[in-house]
Amino acid sequence: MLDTHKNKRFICDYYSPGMIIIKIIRAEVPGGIISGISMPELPADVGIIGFEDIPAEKDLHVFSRSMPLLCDGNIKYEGEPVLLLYGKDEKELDILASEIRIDYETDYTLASMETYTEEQVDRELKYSRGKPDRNFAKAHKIIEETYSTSSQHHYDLEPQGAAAMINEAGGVDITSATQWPFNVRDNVSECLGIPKKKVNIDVPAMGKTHSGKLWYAGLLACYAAIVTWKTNEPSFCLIPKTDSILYTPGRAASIIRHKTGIDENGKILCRSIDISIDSGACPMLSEEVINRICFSAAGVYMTPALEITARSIRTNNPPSGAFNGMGFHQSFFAGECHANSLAAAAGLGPLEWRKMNTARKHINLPIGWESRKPIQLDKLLDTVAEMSDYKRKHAAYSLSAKMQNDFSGKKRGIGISVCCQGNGFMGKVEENEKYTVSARLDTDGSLSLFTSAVPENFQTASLWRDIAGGILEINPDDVRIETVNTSLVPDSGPSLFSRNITIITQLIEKCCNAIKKSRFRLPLPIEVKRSYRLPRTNGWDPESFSGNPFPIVSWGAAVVETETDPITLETSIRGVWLAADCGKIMNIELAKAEIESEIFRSVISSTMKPPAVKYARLGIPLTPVQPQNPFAVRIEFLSSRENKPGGIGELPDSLIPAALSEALSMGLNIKLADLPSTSESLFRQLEHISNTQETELED
Amino acid sequence: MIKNIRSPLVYYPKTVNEMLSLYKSMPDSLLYAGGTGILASKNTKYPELPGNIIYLRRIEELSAIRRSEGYLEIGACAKLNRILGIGEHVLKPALYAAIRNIGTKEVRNIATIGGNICSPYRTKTLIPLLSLLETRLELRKQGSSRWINVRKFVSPEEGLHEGEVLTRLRIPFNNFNHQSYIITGDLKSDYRGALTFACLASVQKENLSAIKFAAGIGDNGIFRAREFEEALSGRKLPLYAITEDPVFARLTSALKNQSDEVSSFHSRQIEGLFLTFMHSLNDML
Amino acid sequence: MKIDFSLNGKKVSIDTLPEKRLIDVIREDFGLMTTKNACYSGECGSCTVQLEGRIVPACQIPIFTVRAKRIVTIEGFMGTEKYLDIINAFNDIKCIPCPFCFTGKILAVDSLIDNHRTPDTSDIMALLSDHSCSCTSVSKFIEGVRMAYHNREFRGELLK
Repeated sequence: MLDTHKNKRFICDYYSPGMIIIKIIRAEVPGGIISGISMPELPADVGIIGFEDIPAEKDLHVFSRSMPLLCDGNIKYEGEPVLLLYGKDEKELDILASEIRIDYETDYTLASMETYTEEQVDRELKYSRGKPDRNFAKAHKIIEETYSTSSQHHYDLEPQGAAAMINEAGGVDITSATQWPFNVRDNVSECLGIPKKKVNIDVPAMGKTHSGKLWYAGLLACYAAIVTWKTNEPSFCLIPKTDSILYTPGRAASIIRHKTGIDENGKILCRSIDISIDSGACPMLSEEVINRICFSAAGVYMTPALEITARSIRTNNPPSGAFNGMGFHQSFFAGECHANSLAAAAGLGPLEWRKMNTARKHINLPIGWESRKPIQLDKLLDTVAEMSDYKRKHAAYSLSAKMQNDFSGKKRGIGISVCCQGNGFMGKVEENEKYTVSARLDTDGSLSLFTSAVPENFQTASLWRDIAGGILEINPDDVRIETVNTSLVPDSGPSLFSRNITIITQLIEKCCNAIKKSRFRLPLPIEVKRSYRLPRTNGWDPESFSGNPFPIVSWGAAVVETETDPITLETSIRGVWLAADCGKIMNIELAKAEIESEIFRSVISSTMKPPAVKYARLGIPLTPVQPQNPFAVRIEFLSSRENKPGGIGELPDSLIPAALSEALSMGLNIKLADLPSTSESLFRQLEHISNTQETELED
Repeated sequence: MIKNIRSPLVYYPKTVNEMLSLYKSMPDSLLYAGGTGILASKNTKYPELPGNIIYLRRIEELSAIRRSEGYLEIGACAKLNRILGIGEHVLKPALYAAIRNIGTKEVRNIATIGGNICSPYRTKTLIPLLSLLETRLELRKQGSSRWINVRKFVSPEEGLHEGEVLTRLRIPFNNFNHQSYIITGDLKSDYRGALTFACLASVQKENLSAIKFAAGIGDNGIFRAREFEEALSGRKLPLYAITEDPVFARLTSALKNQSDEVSSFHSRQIEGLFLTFMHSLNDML
Repeated sequence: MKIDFSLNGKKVSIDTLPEKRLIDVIREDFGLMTTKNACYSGECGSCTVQLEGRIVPACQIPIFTVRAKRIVTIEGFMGTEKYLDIINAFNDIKCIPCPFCFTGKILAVDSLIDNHRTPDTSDIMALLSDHSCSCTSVSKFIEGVRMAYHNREFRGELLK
């Protein structure tokens, strides 16, 4: 019986009356210095905590980065937590919170990403290969374009939060909706100044996260821990939905400038790419994001000469985070849109041009890898083109786009894109980490899996049970994934969906195979442990841009067909076709369901405006809608030459935006360069073209 | 415990007169029916409400729906889904679509038509269409009542006076045999950028005997082009190449006159949606 | 303020603040935690319950408005054959929405398939739009709703 909703406790289910409730008092300006705080008279059962009241370490740490747990006096972004107000009566706290007034001395703000100053550059990476200058000099054509993507926010239903209570060891037990329990444990132990062994992190059920609970959960866990430590009572901190959307780390906005030289046949000779990403006020994962964005900037095309400059910029926006793909989304949007311009400049169709330029071997990728495995990009493109009838539709829509006038029926278009998905982190950030999974086959024949990896969705958990059940020939229902608690399970590292599928699934397989070998030789229970450490040889070196960046890479190609209403400029999707080569597929139905749900989500985020603080304050809900019209989705997996499972969930976010943008551009006979493509942005683009044409006529 | 935390007192009147009398004695009280507009804007566990609440849903008269010969009369506290239950054939396509586009199904099971009309964000839902339909509203206070057109109701000067309560709507049955109601954009994620467009036309044989349209724009505005509508009414159909007809300039100028409120994007949409509607009339012939 | 109402078929009484939302009352005061709360704005569908047989967002209902009303939460609905129509359908096609959104979706599906006609795709998409969680495949969900309808039809529920 599939009663998955029964007995599943999410973080919001951990509150019970009598617990201390924590309210976060946030900054209301994007930058400035706090000159004073006026407080109402606080009753005896209400307390307040500021930066100076944090018992020990005052910063939250993620890999080598840190940010203050509470504002240290300098406001860095609108919504930055300044104070924690706590008490048992929520209504009373709401009234008191509304009476707290924070005064700001200046309204000093950093420049935006578009006009940044050198002081705002958090990190800059430069990469060069071949002789770009010489190749540009001999290029037949040089095409220069700029693309931008806006920030994206987490709309996941389940709220973010944490609960804390004093444990028997004199430490704290924390319940935290986190994808990275051991990071939460380390941060809580540091902020309280107590040994790690006195802190237990328990992870409740969680919905889909898109990496929104990777490190931010640590902040809320520290708040609950600090209040419980101070009061000796259980506490609970849950942030409202609007705060969750506006202030938790979303996807970094980007501006990417491409300059590419091609020869007479349309082959790439050289590329120069300049990338800026908005890492927000506190760049916590920007090192990884900047590495990945740099790595994927030139796409999957053979590029004899290449230079890339990528920088992350501090601004007064909330900290940006990992989100799905951590940089691949921005890179592939710009790179694949630019590929269409290169195809047009070469007088070739987008499919034809891509097939001519895609790499066949890893070594021929823009940033060469040491892997010797072949790549099937040609085959992926052919497959997806055939599935969607791309060639015929492309020819037909190109022709009709040129012939139609303004109000003559719906504008159809079709776009194609190709990408890769790196699974797991790129290396340096976690090179010293070792991740472990253990499994125990009990006397009753049931299997327990111990891992701190948090399944990003219920499909992943189901997949692990199926794999373990299959290897040991037991019913998957008899496979138990033990509750994630740092005192009971080994450290399996941060849980990204792709990482769960690749590294954790492999470790589970290894554990189960080891048990299988000894199950009839040794008495039950049998417990085995397997660990993963990033390979020391052939691993990715971000300094020299060499080695193999990921343990396994997935590849994908997609076609999106759109129809735009010429009046309202609203877009409906006629179909999405996606072909993937992502290693061993464990469960084809689950894999397709996962990709399909991500396709729908990607379509929404590619066509919807990011939320505005202004509207949240007016009380207008920010929840996005699902597309009202369903569309055909077809997914195929190529038989892979890789026998390990690869991630799939990030492919749609790298493929759909560019293909969708190309389809819209074709239908309306314009060139779109910004994401998202809202009706209004389409209108502005059309208006701009119309104004330019009028000016030209006048001249 | 801090002092002066006071929860609201709730009154449950059963008749309109009882309610009006309570409201007169407590003019600062909150009239509460479906409450979705009130609660959705308050993001806290305990929504902050005024000290006195007059709960209207026990007053049967306020939820009544009646059909008379000339109009549909709807109590201000009738729930939206209940109104939809009357059926599209009675409500006619535009009104049916307008109500169906408000909130989620769950919300429409508690939200009321009066609440929608009194909401600060009303111009993106029912008001533009109700104004085309010449809907009249009954406003009552103790000892008096008056009926006003919905157009006047939304103007700050002529809307609700002190002590008045919206009690009923009268929506005249209409003879518009061509109707369109469209929302562009997403009211949830981009309220300001979204647009509502309602258009009604009466076509007798090949004669466009009447046409009118309205659009909900910006944060709280309504666009109308009455001179243009009047100039078109009575024209013979089909009307091809209307953009080249001198009368079309009246629409362009109406849009320009309201350019503070109507963005260029919405202008294009209004023009386009109107032309699409006209095309559909031509195509019917 | 003392409020009497019916919860999952039982008469209950509660003395609480009148403005407390129904969702918090059923979760905190009656311990019925399967219904979730996410947005407090009536938009996400996770707090759906039945009020007088109609689905409503429990976060938009202050407790003073439910005096003498009938409330059924997912816990009360679980014991019914109507529930089995739905859960068996989703089980059969291996469609696994996350438990956070699924409780609201189950009650919304029930309301949809109770309409005595095969739900068309636009009805189901509207339902998904009202329950904004992207945890599952849209096509699988559509298939699940249709199968739930057939289960109910097969049981003869619609003929009664």
